[in-house]
Amino acid sequence: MDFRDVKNIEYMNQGDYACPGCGAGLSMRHALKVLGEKTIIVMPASCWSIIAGVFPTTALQVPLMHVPFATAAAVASGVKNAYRKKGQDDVNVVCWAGDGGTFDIGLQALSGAAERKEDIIYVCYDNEAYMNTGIQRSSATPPGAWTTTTPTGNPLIYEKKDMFNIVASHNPAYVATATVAYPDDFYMKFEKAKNAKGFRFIHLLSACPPGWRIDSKDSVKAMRLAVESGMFVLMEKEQGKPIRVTYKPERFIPVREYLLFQGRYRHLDENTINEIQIRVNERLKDLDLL
Amino acid sequence: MESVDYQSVISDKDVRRFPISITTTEVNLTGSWRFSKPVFKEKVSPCSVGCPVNTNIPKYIFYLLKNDMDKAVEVLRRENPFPATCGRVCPHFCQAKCNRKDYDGAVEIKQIEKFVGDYALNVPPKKAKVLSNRSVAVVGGGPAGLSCAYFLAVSGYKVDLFEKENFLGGLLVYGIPEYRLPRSVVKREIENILSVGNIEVHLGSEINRDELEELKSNYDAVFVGVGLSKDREIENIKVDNRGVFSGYGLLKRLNTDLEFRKRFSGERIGVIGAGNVAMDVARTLIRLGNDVEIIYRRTLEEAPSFEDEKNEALEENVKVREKRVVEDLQYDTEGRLLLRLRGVDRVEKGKAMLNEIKEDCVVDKLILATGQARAFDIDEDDKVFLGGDFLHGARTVIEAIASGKQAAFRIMAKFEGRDFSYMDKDDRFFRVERDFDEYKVVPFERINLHYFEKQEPLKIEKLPKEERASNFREVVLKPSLEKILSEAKRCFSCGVCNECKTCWFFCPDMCIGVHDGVEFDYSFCKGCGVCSEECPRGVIDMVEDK
Repeated sequence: MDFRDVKNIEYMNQGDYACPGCGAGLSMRHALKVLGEKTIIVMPASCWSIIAGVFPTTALQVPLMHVPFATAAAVASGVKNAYRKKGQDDVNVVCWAGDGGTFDIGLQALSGAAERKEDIIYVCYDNEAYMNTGIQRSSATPPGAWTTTTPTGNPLIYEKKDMFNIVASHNPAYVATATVAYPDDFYMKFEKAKNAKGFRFIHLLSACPPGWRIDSKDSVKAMRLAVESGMFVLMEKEQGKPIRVTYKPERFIPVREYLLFQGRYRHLDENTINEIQIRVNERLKDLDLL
Repeated sequence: MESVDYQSVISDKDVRRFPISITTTEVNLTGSWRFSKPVFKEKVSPCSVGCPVNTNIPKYIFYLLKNDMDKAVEVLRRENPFPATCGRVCPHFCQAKCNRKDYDGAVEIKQIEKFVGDYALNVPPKKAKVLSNRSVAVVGGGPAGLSCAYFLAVSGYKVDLFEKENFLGGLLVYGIPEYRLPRSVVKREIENILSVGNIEVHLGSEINRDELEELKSNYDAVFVGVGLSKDREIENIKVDNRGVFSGYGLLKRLNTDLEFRKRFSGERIGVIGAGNVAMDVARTLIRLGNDVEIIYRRTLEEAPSFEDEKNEALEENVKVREKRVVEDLQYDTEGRLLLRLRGVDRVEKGKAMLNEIKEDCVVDKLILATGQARAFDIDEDDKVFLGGDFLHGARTVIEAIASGKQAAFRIMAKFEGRDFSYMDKDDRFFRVERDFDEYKVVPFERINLHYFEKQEPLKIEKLPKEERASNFREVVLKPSLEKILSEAKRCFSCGVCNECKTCWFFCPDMCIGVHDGVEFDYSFCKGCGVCSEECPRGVIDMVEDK
């Protein structure tokens, strides 16, 4: 992607409260560049509740509603219907939730909205744990990863919840995985989501330097290696069409390269790494990537 | 930063009804969180270290891709007044150092330089004013002398240029055949150099050792770059200009005297030596319809000529007899030369150790191309500066240009009463303008390979073998514009910002502006370092900041 073609207008203010190198702040910045001015963000409790700033300041130049943890998709449904009643159907109503508010606490509201085919965009920025409360495990935490509630590593019998397929099974208008480390792919998917009508879901992988125990400078690199190693697969599914993998590396790198440069995986022994590699390979085989 | 005016849609009434944030987080100066900060530091690309004149190659490629050709020409010509010539005859030491070499093949800088250089032919440099009353005599109008004169003239010194022939260019005209370097290119390039002004040319003025002393007293400095004009002799073979010719002298006549060329056709010719002069003589004679055989005491692989020259010579059917010396020669009754050859076991300290092999060989003419030497000796002193082949022995055109350029700057340093110093002593690095922030050569490890897809280097197209015989058309063909641009895009631009905006895209704090380099908004920069890590070319460094 030629970055010179990306528009210079920003919908986020400087001075936000994100940690240095935060993937979530960066993701919001670019998501808004695609979605544009006519956007309203509905936000359950998450890191972004903090990032957005303390009263009376806001880091966004578009309206943002803070809502209770479990209710993002429900509130967004209401907001969208209210706009429609007012004849303003062109407003993008966007849920911007973390993995806690999506995989765990907000799941039933999300499922309900998807089932009712509500005309909203649901974006989950997944940093793989409850980061702003102190790095507690969520059902998005990958097996083996350290968190403060899994100090010896998230047990291998747990598997990261497959949110893509859970939402896809509701047969929504559009569902995709993305990460801002792949700008072409990221912009393409937000563009598609913006232009589709109906329930749209984007699962963003978003690096968290303090939670992943990485240097803040490596945040984009971490998201990239997740994709290059096959730990996170960039794909999409449009209604009525099969799943399409949108980016396939020339050659997958071993997961060890992704895992071992992060502090949250540094305790892993050979067997565990091999086990993770086997699972990744099985998933890649299922997707016809190996 | 552009922004939307969202406050205007909210009324005071709304604010009183429920808590609503209407001011910006810009009151929160996140720059205070920082422990380290990014700084923009342009560095030096390995290619420009390899280049004897240290051209800022990534910079002119950047302007080329930006479609700002005049700027590209300016950058290129700031360090090298002969871009179109070098795009053809320079062996491009830069490419041997290219960081891309070990990735998917070095960038074909030669073809890109040729493209920009050809454009530069029609862009004369700006006229320079006379800024000093000091004047310099430059002896020798070859690449070294012209380069020295150019850099002095550009800086405002008056130059008198003395050339013994009736034309300028020296070796570029009479040494390098047209199929490698068309005359029109050299002519145009010299015209451009002279258009700077301040240079008075004296053709047909051979300067001997005594006249040099005279110049010394009449000028503030004298530059001597007269090349190597004397043939190095071989003990047992004497040049008689009947059957035995000097390679250098012959090449000179063949290249400048079209009538003389006619005397050589349909003959069997032996060439002793396998340097660039030998190759050029052999390839010229092949084109005139002769049967040419090179006789060399080492193997062709060990020969000092350029690889391209060797390969193209073989393609054109120049024959090579390796590991042989001429032990004896005699004229037969028909005026042909009977050569008695001996096999060479090895060459030790410049002396050939012969073995048992004996061969006879008959040729119509024999050409000695075993190298040249200085016609006279002189040392550098307060006023005398040397350059080109005369200084460092037979080397490449670009090295002659570099030595002429450095001599010009040594002369100017002397005038200004200071010492000439390299920007880096170990690398002997010198640029006219210090257009980088720190002398640091960007290593391969500093390149973020993720941003570069593998792509085969440009394939150079040459005139088919069959079409080369009997004409002097340029062998290397011009690639299409698309091919040049696509090759230019392969450049990593090591250490030189090309405004790709990768840092801007990945800055989570919107603290980066890219216009003529990178600017940081330190009020809000949290110092995460993503810009430095993601920069594809190592232009941003992180430094401690408390």
